[in-house]
Amino acid sequence: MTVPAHDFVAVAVAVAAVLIGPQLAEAVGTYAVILFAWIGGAMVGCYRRQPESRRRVLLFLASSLVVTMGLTVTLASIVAGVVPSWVPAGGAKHLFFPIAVAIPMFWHDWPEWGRTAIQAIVRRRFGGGEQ
Amino acid sequence: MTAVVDALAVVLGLVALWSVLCRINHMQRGVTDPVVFWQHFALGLGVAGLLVLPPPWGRLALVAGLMAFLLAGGYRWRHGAPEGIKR
Repeated sequence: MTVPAHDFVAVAVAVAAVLIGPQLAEAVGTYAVILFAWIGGAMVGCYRRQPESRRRVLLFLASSLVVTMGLTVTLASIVAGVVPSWVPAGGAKHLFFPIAVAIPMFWHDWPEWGRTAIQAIVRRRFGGGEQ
Repeated sequence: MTAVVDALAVVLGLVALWSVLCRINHMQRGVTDPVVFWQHFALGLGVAGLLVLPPPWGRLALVAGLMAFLLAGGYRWRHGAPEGIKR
């Protein structure tokens, strides 16, 4: 299976975010970095989906902004607590930038991923299900 | 006076960012040349940097975004003006 060229760019951006995020955050403030990351993720999110009306674009921007500003710090802390090996020395702040990019970037995939995760958990816990 | 200029810069920056987002909204993954998307992505990040980051970082972000926009589209101008821009 071939991977589209622009996905390599997306991976490079994500890696750079992990590397430069904390330094940038210290210099300009956590929420400025989260807002900056959200704009980047929102642009990729717009590109990944079919063209929509301006009203729906505005709705996507507003809702993803609220969720990103509200959940990024909490999610980073949860991830840092659950999977400490993912977090470089320095703490959860390393995760602010990638999480704030990922929330709007994959905005339209979250329901499907959530459904899949719930099905997997139910299947593991209760067994059976679709074979 | 400085406050008026700052406010004007914020308003114009928001309009520019909205314009970039509207263009990206019209692009389709797998149909639109990815280079065109990444050009606009860089430009949008530059404008966003100007709006969100403090002056030294913001100015750098805008100039870097503009530079990336021009460099990424440079191949179309290598052998003269591209098609579709004649009047």
